[in-house]
This record gives sequence, structure tokens and C-alpha cells, in this order.
Amino acid sequence: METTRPTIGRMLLDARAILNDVVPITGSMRYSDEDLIQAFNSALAEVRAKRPDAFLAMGLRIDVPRFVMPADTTELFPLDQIFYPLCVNYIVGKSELREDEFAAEGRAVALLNKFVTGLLQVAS
Amino acid sequence: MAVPVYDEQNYLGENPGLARLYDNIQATVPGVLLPIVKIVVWNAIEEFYWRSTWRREWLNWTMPPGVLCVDFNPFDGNWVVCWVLDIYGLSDYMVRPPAEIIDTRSPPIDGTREGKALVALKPVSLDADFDPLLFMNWFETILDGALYRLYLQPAKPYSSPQLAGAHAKQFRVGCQRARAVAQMQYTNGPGRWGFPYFASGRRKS
Repeated sequence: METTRPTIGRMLLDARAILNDVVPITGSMRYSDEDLIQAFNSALAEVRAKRPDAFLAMGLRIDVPRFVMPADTTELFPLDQIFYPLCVNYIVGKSELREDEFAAEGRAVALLNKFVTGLLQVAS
Repeated sequence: MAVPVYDEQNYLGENPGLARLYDNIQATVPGVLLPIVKIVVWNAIEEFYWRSTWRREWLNWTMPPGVLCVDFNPFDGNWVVCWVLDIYGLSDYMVRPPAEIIDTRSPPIDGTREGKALVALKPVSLDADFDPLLFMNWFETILDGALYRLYLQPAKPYSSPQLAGAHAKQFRVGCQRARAVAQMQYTNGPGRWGFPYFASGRRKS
């Protein structure tokens, strides 16, 4: 059983698993680490706006942290673990918004809505 | 990594009353985070002491010649005076909140003046040593005070104006009951009989 917080690298892997982008069939990933981490940085900004209490432990009067890849691969997920699946949803949803023949736009909107619902409501 | 073992004896931590409070809140309120729980618990405890005047102390004061005011703050490292409830030894005085008394007799009286004052205290932080009775007798009241603050927050998974109203009412009732007990010298029955406060010319505490 794991009791430590997941890392940023782990989170991007989880997002890739849903995006079906783990094994590079064509020789290269469809979504680069930079794209995914940008989506995660956007997720943090959204969480900061909708659930400021999530940032109490690190301080509310400082900028929202920004992560870069590959430097922050081993950094721990910065928020409480209850936000982890929501952030994975957001990364996947944001990535699938991109114009792409494999992307599912309907699923992207559903995941982004699930992210907001999960932040604000018990039922999700 | 080793799996943490449930430690029944120590699971409530250094301050069992506070840890019990956190456990009750986090087990009840969905999606609540510990930092915000600590904030609302501290706010509830501070308001409890402020409203109920639960911790009261008698202080002896002295005004040397030429001095017209006495400040009772800070009381000690953990507590400050939040109300001056009663003053003996001055016929004309003014209280400058929270803890300063001023001799307003005119012309000013020379010489040393002495007296006593009944004050109500509140803790300065969540790290203060609370009296054991706080979590023994008033646990539910503090819990109500914390819960109503949580449920009152907008746009949270646990937002609920209805529950906030119910817990706020219970919290206020608890504070009033604590104040009544403190006024009765911490007995739960009738207090010591004495002349009504207005018969001796004192102010109501």
C-alpha cells in the first residue's frame, strides 16, 4: 500500500493512460510532457480560484506554483490527495480539447465539467 | 514503505481534545481540508471565550500617585483579557476596551489607589493550554461553532445554509449556557445568594 503523495511524473503517466498515449505506436507521443504540465498548471490556477482552502497549507498570499518538465518529475503532488483524480481529469480533458483526429471532444467537455463539479459539490 | 500501524493509545495526539474535534469534523464534513478545519476551530474557540466569558479571573491592581490608568494586558503568554467585567476600588472610571481602566475622578486624586477587577480571558492562539473543562463540558458547543462556519462557506462541497443555521443556533445557546455557569461561580445550581447587582451600585457582569 502506498501512503506517500504521488509525484508529478506519476500524475502525467496516469493522464497518459486515459489518453491512450502510453506506448508510442507511431514512434512519438501525441502529447508532450510540456503540454501536459501546462494543463496541470492551468488546473492549479482553477483550483486556486474555486477552492482557495486547498492552498492554505502553502500560503494564500503567494503565487500559484508552476511546474516544468522534466525538472519537476519527482516533485510531490502539491495539493491534498483528494484533488489528485480531479487534476488528472482536467489534464486529460484539456489535452483532448486540442484539434486531433484521435481526440474525443465530448469526453473532453465531460471531464472538464467533472473537474469543476468535483471541486464544488459532493455528488460528481 | 512500511504500512502505518493504528496506535490506539496515542492516536489522538498531544492535545486529545483538539484531535477529537478534528476527527469529528473531518469524519462528518465531506471534502474538508485540515488547514481550514484548524482555522474554523480556532475562530470558534475564540468566539466561545469572548461570548461566554468562561474563563474569569480576579486581578488586584494598583495605581501609583500620578498614574490614571492600568492595562491588564497581556495577562500571560497564552491568555489576554477580552472583557473587564467588574471593578472595585474606583468610584468614577472608564474602561477602554479591551483591558484598560482609567480613573476619571476630577480633580485627579493624589496618592496610591488599589482595588480588584474581575476580567474575562481568551486564548491568544490554538497552541494555548486550554482548561481541561473546555473539551470536557463544552465539546459539542465548540463543534457546533466550527461546523456552522464550515457549512456557511460558499461554493464548497459541504456548503449548507440550513445546517449552518442549525449549528449556529446550538453554538449560541451553548455560549449562553457557559456564561450562565460562569456567572454562577462555576456551579450548575443556583449561585451564591447576594444582593442584586444594582443594590450595591455595581455594574452587571
